[in-house]
Amino acid sequence: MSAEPILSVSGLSVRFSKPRPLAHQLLGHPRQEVRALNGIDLAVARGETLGIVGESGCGKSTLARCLAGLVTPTEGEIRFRGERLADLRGKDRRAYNRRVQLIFQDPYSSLNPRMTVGDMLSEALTVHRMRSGSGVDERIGELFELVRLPQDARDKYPHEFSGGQRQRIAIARALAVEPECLIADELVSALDVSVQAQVVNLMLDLQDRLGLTVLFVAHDLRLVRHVSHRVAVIYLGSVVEIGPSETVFSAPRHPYSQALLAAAPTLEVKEGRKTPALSGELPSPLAIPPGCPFHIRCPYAAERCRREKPALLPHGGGLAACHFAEEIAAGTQPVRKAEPQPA
Amino acid sequence: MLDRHIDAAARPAVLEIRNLTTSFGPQERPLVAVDGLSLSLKAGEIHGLVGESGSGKSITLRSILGLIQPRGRVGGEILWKGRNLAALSERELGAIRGKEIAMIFQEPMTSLNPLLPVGLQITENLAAHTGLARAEREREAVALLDRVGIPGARARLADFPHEFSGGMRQRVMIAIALASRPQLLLADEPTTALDVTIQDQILRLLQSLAAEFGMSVILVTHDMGVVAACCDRVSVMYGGRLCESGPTADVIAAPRHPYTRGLLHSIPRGVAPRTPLYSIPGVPPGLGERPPGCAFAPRCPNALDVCRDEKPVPSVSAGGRGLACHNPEPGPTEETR
Repeated sequence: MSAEPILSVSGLSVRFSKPRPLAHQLLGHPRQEVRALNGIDLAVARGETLGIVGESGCGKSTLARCLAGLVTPTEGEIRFRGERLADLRGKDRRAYNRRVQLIFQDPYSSLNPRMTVGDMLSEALTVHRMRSGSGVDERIGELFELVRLPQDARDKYPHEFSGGQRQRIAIARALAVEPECLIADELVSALDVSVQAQVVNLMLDLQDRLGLTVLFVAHDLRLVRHVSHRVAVIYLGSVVEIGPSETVFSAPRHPYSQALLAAAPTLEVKEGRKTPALSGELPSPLAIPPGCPFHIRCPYAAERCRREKPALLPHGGGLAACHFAEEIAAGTQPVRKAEPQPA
Repeated sequence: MLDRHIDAAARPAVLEIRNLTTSFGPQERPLVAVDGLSLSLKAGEIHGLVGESGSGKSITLRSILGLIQPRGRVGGEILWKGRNLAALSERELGAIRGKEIAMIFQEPMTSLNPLLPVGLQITENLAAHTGLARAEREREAVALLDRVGIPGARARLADFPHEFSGGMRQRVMIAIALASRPQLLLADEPTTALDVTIQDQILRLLQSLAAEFGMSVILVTHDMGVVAACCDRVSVMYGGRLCESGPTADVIAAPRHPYTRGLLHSIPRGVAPRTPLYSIPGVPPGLGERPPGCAFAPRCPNALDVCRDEKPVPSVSAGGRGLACHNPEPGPTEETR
């Protein structure tokens, strides 16, 4: 791992504006915006795995799509090896599209049901002019070997494969164009537990052999902990905590990371815990609360949290965005009483 | 709140499934989805039914309520308070379904009627199964929504399902199921589509309801973590058959069936980061290609010749642990149970 980031993101914001009915326009209602990402700063070093966790709707997938160039950020920039993605044009942009590959979540809908696996892979190879003529066939053979699919997979259609095999096909398709960075958006969440381990092992092995940089977006904290060097916890489109995987998981500093970990099922048979780790739900990204985005659900929230958005500052071994991170770690921050949730 | 773990052991069984076999397709070449499953459930007990997709968990739940006929055939006995549900007529079942035994489905997004306000969907159930008058039904609906943790329940009665989030819809589903005060709740992966934080809330809710009303729950899931978090007992299914069952803590601490062991082993815990995880080789067999012997034999590290030819017969040992395996992992030492 080198210190020089291969992929970095600064102040990244994405807003989607909601269509406004004519009546609302005439009445002068303001346009509503979904604030999917709100100023994300991240950097990934070459060969590193960065885990990205958070609840659904927190912006994980939007971030993955931004990095893959599928969503144009409203503000902020993405840099790949120091070059701004927004400045890349023509050949350079196509090179970026090749070097950064996204693997989608659902292997049942992300493969074209009317194309054979061989056609899919040769399409990827031809579009990016990776090989020509007989080189294509040869490369497809190599790819099957790489992801451990039988060679006769070439002439089969996606429906002939199981979920785990389909996800391997998706990995083969991403690897076909020799990328440097893989963005795995919920790579294994659609798979059965016993098959998940197979795909995760394959990914770890390929990463080592090919020196890939991986962004592992997932909600399964056990897996993220296992595969990631560093982990970023996202809440309502902001990074609330980021740090080395073991630090974040063994001693989380942000109350949201703590709650997320407490809620995650482990194999420890829990006796006695009768109250949920975290009450309430993720607020709508249409109306993000002022101040700290987590204060509505936070057991430690104080007056300051309602007014002021905390910055991402060093706490423990990583960075956390919490006004009271030190006090919470020391156990001196008072826990507020549960308030009735707003109707 | 009662100490359920001590209390549960002394209660009588309310549901006794004996040799349940559910099959589809032609008589002469049947596709057997559930193959000789036996299970017993006590009042107030939460029983986890674990397995991978296609292992027959959901079909088991549907068989209990008779929801798979006429296309499927159900054999064996499903004794609910002494009556065999498998032998009841559709009319007799109708009186039990939704009243004594309620079910919640996996996808809260698609199992509510999108055209009816949720209040109506709850009062509908109350009208069918209770003698309450209209105003009382309304009051009861608010109380139910309140009980399952929906804020501002009264104001939300007129809302349609699309106005609720996934977790809230699952709560609405639970509220509908609870309307008739069922004694048994069949929950088919109720939290699979939800975030861990919301999953945690729903599981705690199920636990408190089971303790409060003495309601029994069969919770179908593929996540051993969910079982560890809330189930008193667990049954592990593979290829339509029961591999192993027993008190949750015992099974997780000392799995005896190689499949259970593999399943627990493939979840990363206590292993060095970024090392290969244990994975069970191969994939589960399809419905039409179940091996003649033990369903797990082709993937099993312990498989003997006998495993390929003969189905293992389930046996029950001390401590209430069931096992169907010719060559199990060594059991815990005698004095532990």
